[in-house]
Amino acid sequence: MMATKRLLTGVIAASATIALAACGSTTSTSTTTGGSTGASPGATSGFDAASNNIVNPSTTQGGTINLVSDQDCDSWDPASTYYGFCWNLQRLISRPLMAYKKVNGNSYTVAPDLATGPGKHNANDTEWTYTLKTGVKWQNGKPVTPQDVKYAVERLYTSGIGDLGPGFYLTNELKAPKGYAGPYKSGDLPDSSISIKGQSITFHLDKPFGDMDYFMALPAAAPVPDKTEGGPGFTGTNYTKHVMSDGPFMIKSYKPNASIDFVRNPDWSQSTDDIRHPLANEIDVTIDTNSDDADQKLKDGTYDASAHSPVGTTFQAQLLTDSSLKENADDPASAFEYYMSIIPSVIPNKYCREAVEYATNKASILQVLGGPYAGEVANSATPPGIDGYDTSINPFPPGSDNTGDLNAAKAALAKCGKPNGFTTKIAYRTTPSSWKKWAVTEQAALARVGIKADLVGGSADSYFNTFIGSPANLKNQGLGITLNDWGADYPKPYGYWFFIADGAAIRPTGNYNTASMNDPVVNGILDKELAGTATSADYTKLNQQISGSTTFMPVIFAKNLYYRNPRLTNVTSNNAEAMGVYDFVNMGVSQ
Amino acid sequence: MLRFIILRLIGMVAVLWIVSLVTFAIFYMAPTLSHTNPIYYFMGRVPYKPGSPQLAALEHQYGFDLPVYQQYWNWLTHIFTGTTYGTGNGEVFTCHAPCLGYSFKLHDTVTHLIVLALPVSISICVGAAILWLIGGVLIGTVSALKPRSVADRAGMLSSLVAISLPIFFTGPLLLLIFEYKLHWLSNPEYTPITQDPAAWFRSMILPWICLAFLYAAMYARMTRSNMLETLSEDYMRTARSKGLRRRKVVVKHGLRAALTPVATIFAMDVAMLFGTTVITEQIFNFRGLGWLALTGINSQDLPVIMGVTLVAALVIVVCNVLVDILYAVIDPRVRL
Repeated sequence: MMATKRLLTGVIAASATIALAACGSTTSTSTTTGGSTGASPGATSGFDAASNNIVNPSTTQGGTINLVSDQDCDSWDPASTYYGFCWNLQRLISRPLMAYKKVNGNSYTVAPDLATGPGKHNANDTEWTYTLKTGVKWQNGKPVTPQDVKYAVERLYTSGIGDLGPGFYLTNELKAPKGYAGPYKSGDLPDSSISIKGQSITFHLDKPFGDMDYFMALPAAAPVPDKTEGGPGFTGTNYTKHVMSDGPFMIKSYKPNASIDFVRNPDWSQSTDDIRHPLANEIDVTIDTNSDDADQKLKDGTYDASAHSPVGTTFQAQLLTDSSLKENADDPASAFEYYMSIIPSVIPNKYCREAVEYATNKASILQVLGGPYAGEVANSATPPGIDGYDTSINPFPPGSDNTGDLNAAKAALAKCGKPNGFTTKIAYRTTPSSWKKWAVTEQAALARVGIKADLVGGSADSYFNTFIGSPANLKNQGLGITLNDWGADYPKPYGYWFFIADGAAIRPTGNYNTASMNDPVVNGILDKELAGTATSADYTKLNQQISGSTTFMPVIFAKNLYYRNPRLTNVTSNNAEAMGVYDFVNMGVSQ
Repeated sequence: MLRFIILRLIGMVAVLWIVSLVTFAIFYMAPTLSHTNPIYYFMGRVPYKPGSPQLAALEHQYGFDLPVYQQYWNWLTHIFTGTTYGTGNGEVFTCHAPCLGYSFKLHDTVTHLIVLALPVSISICVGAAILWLIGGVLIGTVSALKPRSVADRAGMLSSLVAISLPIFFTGPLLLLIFEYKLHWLSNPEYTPITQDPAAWFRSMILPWICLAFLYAAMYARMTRSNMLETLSEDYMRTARSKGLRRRKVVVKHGLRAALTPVATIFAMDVAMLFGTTVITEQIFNFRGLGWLALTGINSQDLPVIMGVTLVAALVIVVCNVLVDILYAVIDPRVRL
């Protein structure tokens, strides 16, 4: 699953609040209200100003931005990348049919990018038509055509390419011939799947997909030069080594796992692009696996910003105690959530599960996960940035200080018929190490009401696949509580909830719906979203239903602390796609 | 002498063959022991559902359904003949000889990945080796010539300190002083010597010092000990009593004899360093063989692990043979 990779990057998701129009599929823009990131309204400087606003607004062109990342992208092929920070960098070189125009704060705007307007669809959302702008060119001067978009979608069916990214959202819905395996093996998709007429391209779906505009804003939907791709030797899985750009920047040099440098694409035209207003001449990314070295060079200005990880603990301590440093830092909220699943097949009595919810000490868990700059306590399931976010939903309040309500927990245990508690197991991932601390904290919290929980660790590579990702394994091992984290594939309730809460997502292994939630209300609301008929009331109900399920216990809505060089201009956080990493495409430097 | 060399070369081939057997055995056993489809370790993922005909076809394509001895033979011969790798999705990658495999995670042949990493490792190892050899021998010799002097005690004390300090301490310390505080170096990244020798030197100087600091300390102590032993030999006294100048006695007779075992260790240290500079590479953000090996291990990319293992073994075995031959030249008794 794509989201898995997004979890494994270690980047904590930034939050976003998206609102849906009553019929989300009929519009390409959306706004919502949501949790505040704490920045002063309209502030263009100071701590956390870039979370919601543009810091150092400027139109000054030129200069080089020096970025650092602790790892290379999983892929530079837009079809294959699943890391949020890579989607942020894809904005430099890839132009999907739709794209995020506003990426900061809690409300985002999805707007036409390569397309002239949002998708036009039939009555039941099974046919979506986009018309491409004219004058958009690849870096070799050739025009970007609808055939390039079709070819990109065909590549999503290729094993080793499309299955590494989020392409399944579309390939699950598209009316493709059975057994179609991508253009390299099966040739072109027929017109019954994707048809082209002039500058228009129409996607024919088996089922309604009301979030089509959002899918089309993912890099996976960005065009790829039909058949030729990156040139001889750079096709298929090797396209990642020589990606063609139709964006304002193009790749000047790429040394895998060492560096990637972007320069301006002379064939990009501002007149075709309402989303990007680039300033810098060049953007260089150095991959520095020594995080202390990277932080030191961020501090001294060698690097301008991190392209991926938030600041480390040492630099964080310096930042928060030095006002001159802190004013150049941001702590955007994140559409990324830490939660615990309480497994009904192991703890069948709902009052026993309620006791776990009441007894949990969320304040202490926040401390072991990084403290107040790493997140805030969550008592409702839907994170800020996802429609339905509502902090007033709090079915199992853990006390005013979030350390747990022991009286309520004991009362629940009594209703469960186990007033002295019970025995269970907590499953945790062995890396990062903070997860064990989280598990230990939960163990100690539950012990206060007599619930004895043994800890069972699982390695990161199998944790979400066969350890807690296998319902049978959970039951066989008696794992009653599991630690989880999750970020949205795209900031809509379906993009957030489907894999972790929809009954249709339950599978024998690789199951992210850890508690095997199969609530008709939840399933129905997500289906309504795809049909384009869900309302904001539905999303509030969705939050209530999951928060009160006793199987999904929200714990922390994550935040990330980032540092920006004071010389940077037009700085803002990309909360929509990149979990709070700065949006680099429109960034500049003061001369 | 020729017979000696031939025997050593035969021995080298035998050792490499054993290493290849062990390496392959690990590759073969890893899926069995972890109950994982071998395709996972080969391609970094299992692209089709277990039990599906597509997966069976892929297993057949890579010969995982063959007897183990045949799999080993195919793998071994492909090193010399080259081969192709299909992905099952219509793509085919060619791996020319010497073919050490294909990394589906890094999208490259293992041979090419090693070719990219090798200059980095060579740069680190050779430069550091020169520094530590000169520094270590110099300090050791001075200490031996003036035992219990201030210079001797200072040299030995500093070498004791240097041995006690691990690279993960001295590396960041050097960065702190020369990059972060003094700003004498500004974020130097590896540059090939053929591209810009000055930039190459700037990027290498701190890793060299870091490694040389550790190894020079050992060499100083070793040289001192050997020199003291040699200087106390009768033939040294004889040489002095014959009226030879002290400098000639020390350099021509003493140092030559004292350095023979040092030369042996030196060659082996350099050889072993090729695959073990991972900490240094991590601290200074280089992408040498150590980093490649670590990347392979972390991502369970077995073709990379096997390739690096074989190349590291090759370097060690070749250096070992060279030392043997050199030793035989210096000391003919070895050939007996």
